Amino acid sequence: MSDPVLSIRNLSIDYIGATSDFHAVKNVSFDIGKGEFFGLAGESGCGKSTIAFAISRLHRPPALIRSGSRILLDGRDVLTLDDQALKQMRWREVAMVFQSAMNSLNPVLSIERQFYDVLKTHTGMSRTEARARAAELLKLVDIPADRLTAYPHQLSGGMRQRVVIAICLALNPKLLIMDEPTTALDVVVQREILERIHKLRQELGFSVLFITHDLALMVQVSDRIGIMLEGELVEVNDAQAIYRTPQHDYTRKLWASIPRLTGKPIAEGATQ
Amino acid sequence: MTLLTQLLRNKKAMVGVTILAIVILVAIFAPLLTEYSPTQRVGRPHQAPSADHLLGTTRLGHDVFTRLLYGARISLAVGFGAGLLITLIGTVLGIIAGYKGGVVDEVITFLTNMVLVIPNLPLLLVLAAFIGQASPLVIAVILGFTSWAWGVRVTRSETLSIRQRDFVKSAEMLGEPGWRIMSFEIFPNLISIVGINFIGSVLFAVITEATLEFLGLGDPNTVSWGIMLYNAQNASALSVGAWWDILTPCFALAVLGLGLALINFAIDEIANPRLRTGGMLARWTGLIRRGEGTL
Amino acid sequence: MTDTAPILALDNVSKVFHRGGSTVHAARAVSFALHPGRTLALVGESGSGKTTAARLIMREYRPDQGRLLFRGVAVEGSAVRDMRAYRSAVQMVFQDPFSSLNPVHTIRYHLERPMRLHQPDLKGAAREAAIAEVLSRVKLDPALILPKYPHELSGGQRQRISIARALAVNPEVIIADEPTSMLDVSVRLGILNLLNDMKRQLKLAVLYITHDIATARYVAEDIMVMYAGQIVEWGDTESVLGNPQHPYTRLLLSAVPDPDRRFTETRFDDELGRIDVIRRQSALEQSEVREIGPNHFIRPMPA
Repeated sequence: MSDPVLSIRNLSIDYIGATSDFHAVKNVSFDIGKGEFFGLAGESGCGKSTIAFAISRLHRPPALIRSGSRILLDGRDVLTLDDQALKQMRWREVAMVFQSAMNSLNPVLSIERQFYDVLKTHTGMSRTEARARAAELLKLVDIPADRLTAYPHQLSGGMRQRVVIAICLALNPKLLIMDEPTTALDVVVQREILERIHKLRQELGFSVLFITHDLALMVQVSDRIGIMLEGELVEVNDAQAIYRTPQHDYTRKLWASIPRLTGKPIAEGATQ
Repeated sequence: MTLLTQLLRNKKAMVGVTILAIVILVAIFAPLLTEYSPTQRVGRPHQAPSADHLLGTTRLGHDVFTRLLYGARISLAVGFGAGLLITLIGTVLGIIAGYKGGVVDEVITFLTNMVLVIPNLPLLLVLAAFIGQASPLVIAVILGFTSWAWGVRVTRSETLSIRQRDFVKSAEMLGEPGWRIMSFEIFPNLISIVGINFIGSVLFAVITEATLEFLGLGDPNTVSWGIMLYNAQNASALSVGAWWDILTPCFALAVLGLGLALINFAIDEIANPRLRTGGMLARWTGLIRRGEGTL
Repeated sequence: MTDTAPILALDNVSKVFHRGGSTVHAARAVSFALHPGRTLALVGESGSGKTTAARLIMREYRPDQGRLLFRGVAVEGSAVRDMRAYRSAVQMVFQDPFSSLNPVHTIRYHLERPMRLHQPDLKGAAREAAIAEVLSRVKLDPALILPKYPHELSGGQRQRISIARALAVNPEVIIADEPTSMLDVSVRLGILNLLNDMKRQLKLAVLYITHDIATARYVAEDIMVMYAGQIVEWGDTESVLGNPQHPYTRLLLSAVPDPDRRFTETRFDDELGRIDVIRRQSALEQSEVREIGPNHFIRPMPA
């Protein structure tokens, strides 16, 4: 791929124990291109969230990113950045939405104030400028500007999650990481949010790293998909190829265990 | 791994248990460890420590070492007796309040809050003064019936959270009777809280008993560490230079308190794995230093 | 629906909760029946009232209006003997396999208790054999599993134990509340197959509560779609999912992830374009019932 936004090379991450280590991510390499929607799928404990945390450098002990690993964001290795540079990188270059992000809004501050805090810290915007920019961002995620004065508890879960996404987009990041962003939400809300992201990245040109255990959803929204199993990236391919012509046994097994809404209830050769 | 095997592997627990075991053994085998009687004059007043009297004598000519050994009996008996009573009342009321909820909870919580707002030590002072020269048994009973409120609070709030778990609901749907749910489903999940409550209460009772006796509210004829302090103070032991008379019971109380506190820390550590960092963090720091990785 | 008499039925049940100043209609004129050897799926979003329906059946809540019928007789009051008979007929499988087993007890304890309570005549070797039998029904090896503690088992194994525990009272009805939503994809199918086997072999009546419509299709002969406390569409599963008539059902189905369709193409496109209208109108009370076909009904959305 020419000129990827994110390029991960030989990434290995261990969780250090008192006597032995747990190898959460084992020598993983992949690229995400400009404007690409990349999905990372796998079951709980397969290491997909551990990778997301490493890209934002959000890990805490006992996690250890082994030397030899490289995470290149626009050609710069984020593993060599100091604290100051990291602060600059987060929000501006990489923004992250978690499953529980909707609960991460400060309950005692209005939505407008939460936008202002981010915009002021990173761009030094004035209050009026920030208000205009916040209204603009809310419009991007289909929330009327008059909700700026609302407090988080006055919004539904889906709306709060969209507010978080809007805040993440405030500084035009190159990469938006979404770790199970809609798992706690209902399907209709999930659909609304992802459709919005889908359109926004076409308009704004950011790349997406989308992490979920829902393979069907992933095929619908992603350009390319990586399948993880026990810390290893076992298959990377175009979304349609992952769906129609899976190469790895594990990918096939996953598809075979998902009941279908139309046609045959489950694929041929499904296992117990 | 069971609580017991985990305790055996914990350094704090091992030190604490060793201290407690030594005190218990000393209490049991006191007559074998000394040739004197704790209540008889066996030497001249205020003799310094010597081969005859390992920790010297009191103003009345009692052997301090002998009184120390026998005194452990009372301290332990009052501590464990009162601790047991405090834990029993606190646990039973706490589980009932947390599980039953409603009016039962309101009544118990009201009682608990009432007991909590009455300052404990002044109440004890008044009670002890009213009874006058309280024997160790009386002190243990008073402590037991006035100090359970904290235990109720903690047990109740923990019960409230366990009650929300599906296994409690599942037991209800199987038709398990309420008493069984409380004692076989909820209680075993509270073992570490109950343990902490018990050891903490023992510690509290040991110290409070000594305090009451030191203040002159105990029976001066008992052989206990608190009475030793009281007598030594009355004899102006420090101003006449008989430091052994007053430091011995002080030291004994401090060591027993340390042992109990260590056991409590250990239980807390085992019950909350987040407090356990130990080897893991040391290894992690080592790996970072050697440049084998980064955060 | 079938010729057999229902074991358990909700008859026109309503339940209203008052929270602060607002009232929530958790169940509005809900009626359905569970038949032996059949699974009825109840699907809906969170807050649609599907968990309230389960709690009404498990008798955690009493209905404000309407009746709960057990073998055709209204269940009322809480006489100890009646409760016991009801409990040994109606059992539940919970959503969270990590919270539904008591961490301090072995698997043996979890299976022995229901037997002692509901089959007190079983003793010694006979009870041992009965425990081995329920474990083999959920495809676990008794010798390996019985001495273990819940934390030594995987999520899928725990959920199997949870099912075995429900089976240990010899029930006629199983209420399964999102039994696979917290499990990994690759073990879900095993649990669903287990529910299907139980239904066929033991002639159990199953109420399968879920937000995952594809799994409902895999286990249920009949399906109900619930929204705002009201069942808006119900009937034969293939008919409801293949030919949905209520706008809310169509909205739900077009939002379900489908790998065969990119985001740009949807099954019922206009529904996704008027989500707010459908939500608002479907939440209104509707007493009219329209028959769409054999065993397929809707409560039409008020215009």
